[in-house]
Amino acid sequence: MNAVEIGIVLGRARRQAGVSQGELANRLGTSQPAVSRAESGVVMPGLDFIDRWAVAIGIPITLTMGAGAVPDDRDLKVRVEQALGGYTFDPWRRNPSAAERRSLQRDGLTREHFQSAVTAPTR
Amino acid sequence: MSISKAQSLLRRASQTDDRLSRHLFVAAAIQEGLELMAVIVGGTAEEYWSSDDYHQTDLDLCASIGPEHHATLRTLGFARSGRHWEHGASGVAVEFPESEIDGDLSRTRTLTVGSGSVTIIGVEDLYVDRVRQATADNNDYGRFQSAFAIAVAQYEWIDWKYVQGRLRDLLVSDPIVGVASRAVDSRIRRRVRRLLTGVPPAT
Repeated sequence: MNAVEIGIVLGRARRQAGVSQGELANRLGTSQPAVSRAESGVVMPGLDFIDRWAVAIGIPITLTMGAGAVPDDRDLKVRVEQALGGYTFDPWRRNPSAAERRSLQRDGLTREHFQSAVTAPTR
Repeated sequence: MSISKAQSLLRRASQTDDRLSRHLFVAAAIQEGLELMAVIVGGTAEEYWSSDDYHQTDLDLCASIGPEHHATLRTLGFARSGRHWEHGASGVAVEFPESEIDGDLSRTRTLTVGSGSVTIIGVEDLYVDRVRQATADNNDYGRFQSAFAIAVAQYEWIDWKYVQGRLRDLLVSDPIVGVASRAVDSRIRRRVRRLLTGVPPAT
C-alpha cells in the first residue's frame, strides 16, 4: 500500500466514526493540518500513528499489505461511472472532421445515439 | 521495416469490435511499420487510463512523422484526409498532433498489443493536460469531467508530487492558466477524496 491508499483508509475510518479532523487532531495531540496530510497521502504515517488513530476514533483499522494489484478494469469502470453520475461525453459537440465522423458512424456512434444519452452542457 | 507485421496488426484492428482495442492495434501497427515511437495521447489515452467509454473520435499519436513516412503509411492502407490519416479497413482516423509529448517520456506505459506494442502517455501528464484544457475552452465541463474521470480511476496510483510540480511550473510559464489549473486540480482531488472515503455527495 502507498501513502495515498493508507490515507483513504484512515479518512474513511474517521468519517465512519463521525469524528471531524479537528476533533481527531485534539485526541491525537496533533494539528488538524497533520491529520489532513495523513489522509491526503502527503506523508506516510507510521504504524504507531495508525494505531493511535484507530484508538482515538474507536474503530479498528485494517490494512492489507502486499495485495499490490490495481483493481481490475471492470471495478475501475464502475467506480468512474458512479462518480460521473450518468454523464456521457458527446464527441459530436467537438465538430468532428469528415474522417472522424466516418469513424464514429462505423461504430454506430451517431449524433442521434448521443442525443438520447445524458450529456452535460459545456458551461 | 516490418511491413508484414504492421499489416497483420492492421488486419487484427479491422476484425476487432471494441473501439479502444482497434485503436491500440492501429497504434501498434504504426510503431511497427514506421519503426518509430508513437505515443498515444488524447482521447484514446484517456479511455485507457480512466476505464471509461470516452468515445474518442480519432487516434492521436505524438511521433516525428515526415514526408519520408507518407509512402509507408499509404502502403499500409492509410489515406490522407485533412489533418488525419484514415485507415479505411479498420475505420480508424489517426492524427499526429505533435512530434513529442508534453511530459516525461520515462512515465509512458508500454503495452503488448498482439504481436506488437504501444506506448501510452503517463497518467500524470495526461491528467495535467486535461486539467489545463479544463481551464481553457470557456471552462468546458467536458474537459473537467475528463480530468475528474482520470483522477477517480487512478487516484491511489498517480504520482501527485510530480503533478504538483508540473502545475507549479505552469504557474511560472503561464500564470493565468497556472492559477486556474491549480484551482481545478484542487477541486478534483477534494471531490475524489470525498468519493473514496464514502462522504455522500452534496445535495
